[in-house]
Amino acid sequence: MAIFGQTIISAVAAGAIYALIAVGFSLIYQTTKLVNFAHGSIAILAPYVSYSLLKLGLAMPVAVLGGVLAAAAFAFVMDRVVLAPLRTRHISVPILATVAVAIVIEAVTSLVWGSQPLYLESLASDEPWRISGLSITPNQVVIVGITGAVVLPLLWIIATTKVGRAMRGCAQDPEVVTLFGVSPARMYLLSFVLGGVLAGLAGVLIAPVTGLKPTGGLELSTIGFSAAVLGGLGSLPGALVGGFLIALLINMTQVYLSAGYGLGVAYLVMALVLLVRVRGLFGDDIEAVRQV
Amino acid sequence: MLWKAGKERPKEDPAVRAEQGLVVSGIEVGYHRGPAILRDLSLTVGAGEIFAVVGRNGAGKTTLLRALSGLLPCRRGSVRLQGRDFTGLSAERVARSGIAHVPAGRRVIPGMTALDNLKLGGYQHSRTALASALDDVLAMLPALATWGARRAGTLSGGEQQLLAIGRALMSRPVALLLDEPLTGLSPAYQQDVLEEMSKIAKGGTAILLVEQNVRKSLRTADRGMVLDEGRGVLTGAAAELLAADRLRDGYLGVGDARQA
Amino acid sequence: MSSITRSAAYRGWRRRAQGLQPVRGPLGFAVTAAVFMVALSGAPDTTLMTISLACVYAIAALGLTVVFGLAGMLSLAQAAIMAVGGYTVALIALDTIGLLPALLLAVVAGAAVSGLSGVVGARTKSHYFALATLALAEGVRLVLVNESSVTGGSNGHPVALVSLLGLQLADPRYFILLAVPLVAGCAYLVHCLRKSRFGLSLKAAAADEYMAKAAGVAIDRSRTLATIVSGGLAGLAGALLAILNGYVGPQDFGLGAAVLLLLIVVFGGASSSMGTVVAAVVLTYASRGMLDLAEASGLVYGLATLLLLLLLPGGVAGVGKAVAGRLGGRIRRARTRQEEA
Repeated sequence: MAIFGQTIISAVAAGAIYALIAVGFSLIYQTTKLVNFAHGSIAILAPYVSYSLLKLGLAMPVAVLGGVLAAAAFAFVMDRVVLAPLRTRHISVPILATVAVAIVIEAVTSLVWGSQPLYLESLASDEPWRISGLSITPNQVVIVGITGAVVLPLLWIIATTKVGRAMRGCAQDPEVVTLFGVSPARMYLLSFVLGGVLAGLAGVLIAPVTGLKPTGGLELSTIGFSAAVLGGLGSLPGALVGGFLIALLINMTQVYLSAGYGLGVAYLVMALVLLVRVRGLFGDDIEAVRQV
Repeated sequence: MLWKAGKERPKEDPAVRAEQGLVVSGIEVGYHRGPAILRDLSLTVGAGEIFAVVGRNGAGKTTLLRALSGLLPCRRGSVRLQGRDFTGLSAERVARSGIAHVPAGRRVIPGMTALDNLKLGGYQHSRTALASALDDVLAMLPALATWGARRAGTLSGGEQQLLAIGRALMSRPVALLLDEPLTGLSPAYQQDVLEEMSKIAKGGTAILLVEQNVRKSLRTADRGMVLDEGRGVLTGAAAELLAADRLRDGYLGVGDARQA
Repeated sequence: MSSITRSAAYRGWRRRAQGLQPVRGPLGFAVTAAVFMVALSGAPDTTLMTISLACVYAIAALGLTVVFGLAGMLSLAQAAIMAVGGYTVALIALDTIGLLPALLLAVVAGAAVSGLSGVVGARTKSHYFALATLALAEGVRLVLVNESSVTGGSNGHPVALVSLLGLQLADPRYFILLAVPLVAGCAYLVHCLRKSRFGLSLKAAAADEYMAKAAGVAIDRSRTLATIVSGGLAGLAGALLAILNGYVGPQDFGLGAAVLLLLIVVFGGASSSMGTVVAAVVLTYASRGMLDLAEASGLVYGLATLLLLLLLPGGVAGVGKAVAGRLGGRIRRARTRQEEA
């Protein structure tokens, strides 16, 4: 029972991070209709930059902020330089370009920081509090707190403000929204920068937990994709819930079934959702019919 | 005075009305490097006037509207609204400066609710201006309020057309461009749309209507033009056009006449 | 009256043209292959190795042409399917069952695993299919790494030496003798598929799904079949790669290889098998050159991919039109034209 409770606790902390990844990924998808295969790679860029900033002697909060900003800046450049010129081409070309960006990031990180895992200090103490047999670390609380403080306001903004409506409208009919004075190119850029911030945050939160290695980007991407697909691609609340569910599934599998196949369950869930219910838990049925 | 709150009612003098409306002079438009679709086309839609452009498939009707709303560049000529030069502005700038375009096929955003579609139409407004525009549009088209919470993709064709028009009105346009608003609607809904259009024009908006349904559109319009192979071949008062021999021979077949 | 005579004449012309076709296709490939081998007889070992690899990637890319080029389904799993074929020949007793049955087994294994993606692909395309194939690819990789007692884990697994007519296939000099005719055969197979009703149904489904359905095309069956055919060729390619290297390891079948295959299809064009083969040779040669850059190879490779996509929309082969142009540009333009009209 104690193991079960402990698994739930660590799943909630991991789920918060996966949710950050998934929400950013889904936000980009719901605005641009583009699957960003570089999303997890952008996420690990942030802790690498933070690591170097810490080495330079900067304080922890400054280094973390710098890392997140670096991820957002990278997303900005990626949209402007790589994706904007490819927008008129067949959809497979920009998708392929995002995969190439993922490869570039993996290569750059292993060139600059080496392929051996790096370890970052946690944002808060890892010294656990004991509460009736279960241990919770302050860091876990901080992770969940940061996610809530960032994601919930963002969901509200996207759901209710005019910029949110414009972003949602953009994906479905970019030409029509220009007739109302919306600039799709700006909305695409905004979604990438916001997605970059969310990914960067996820990166700096997960690096102290799992260690930091160049191949971690793709892994993080696939987990995020699974969460987003489970929640319904393009649905932000769905991505949030999907993040926690996927974390729960992965942790349960690792503890009770097989340590090596935790990620396999995430892939399996994604495949099953695509097979049985493409729109996931909270996806838009009309959209699913149109886009699938 | 629903639409132009705070603005003077258009004067009855035609010259003044034209000056407050949409003036298109000598435009030439084509796609990419292809041949010109529209050649030396001029027309004037006064404030509060309904101007119908009729013509066969491929005459260039949709191209005309796309050029006016900035989706296509004009190679020659100019587009002016209330005396301001619009030629060469991007579609976003045109939309923010008083021209609203209801594209063919309605193009409502299917996954968003009808209300969100309307609000998207008022993208340029501040929060308070958006609320007042929404109140005005719902007062004008009360039907919208009854299915506002439904998603646009689940609405019928007629409902979607009303929604598309309402969405365009959200920006409080000076000129409203309508691309084949009657296509695919039942006669009852066609009548609804035409009546709403007259109401909107009475509020002082210049309406440019492009239609294949010659008879119905010219009956509602004040003036009109026959477009053929990119040129305006006949321009005049709508009633005169309806009576013109050339129009009768070319566009209103015997069957059509009997039907009407 | 006149239309009947014209159509009869047309049918006669078609029949004669079709009568020629089965001869013309293989003949062209055979001549090319012969020229190829003569030219290579005195080539240095590194060139032979590059050509051998190009043959392997050409076969896998030809398979990908069916799924990605014709059906427009972006698959990231093709390299992983190659791994399935490669591990199949690595794990069976190659020396006892013989080369041909081993290759056949690899084809079947590749087709079967790829068919799994087809089950999803029957219902989805573009983004969703890309995600599903990524899941499949990562799943395969996970099994290869985790089941180390069977597969050797991340260290890989040796492959028994095989010879054909007494010629050692691990030597690129002799490998080419097997691989070039196989490339020609696969190219011809894909060429025929492209011209067939099956190819037409895939193209129709890619261009306009609803229209294709309305015209009576069984989209889901065609798509599943496409992934099976494509997987079979990938399995064959993987098996050949394993035999050539005498070794299989998960790192040979990663995302980089999947992207290389997609690039070959993009730049070889979907409309000609010859284009795919030429693109395979060019891009394999380029990516082999990058291996000399050691650590920076990934960086150069990724950047080169981006530059190719950004600067060369027409494709390097120049023979066929690039998938991008064919699917994207033309359809979009046709649609706008329709809308305008």
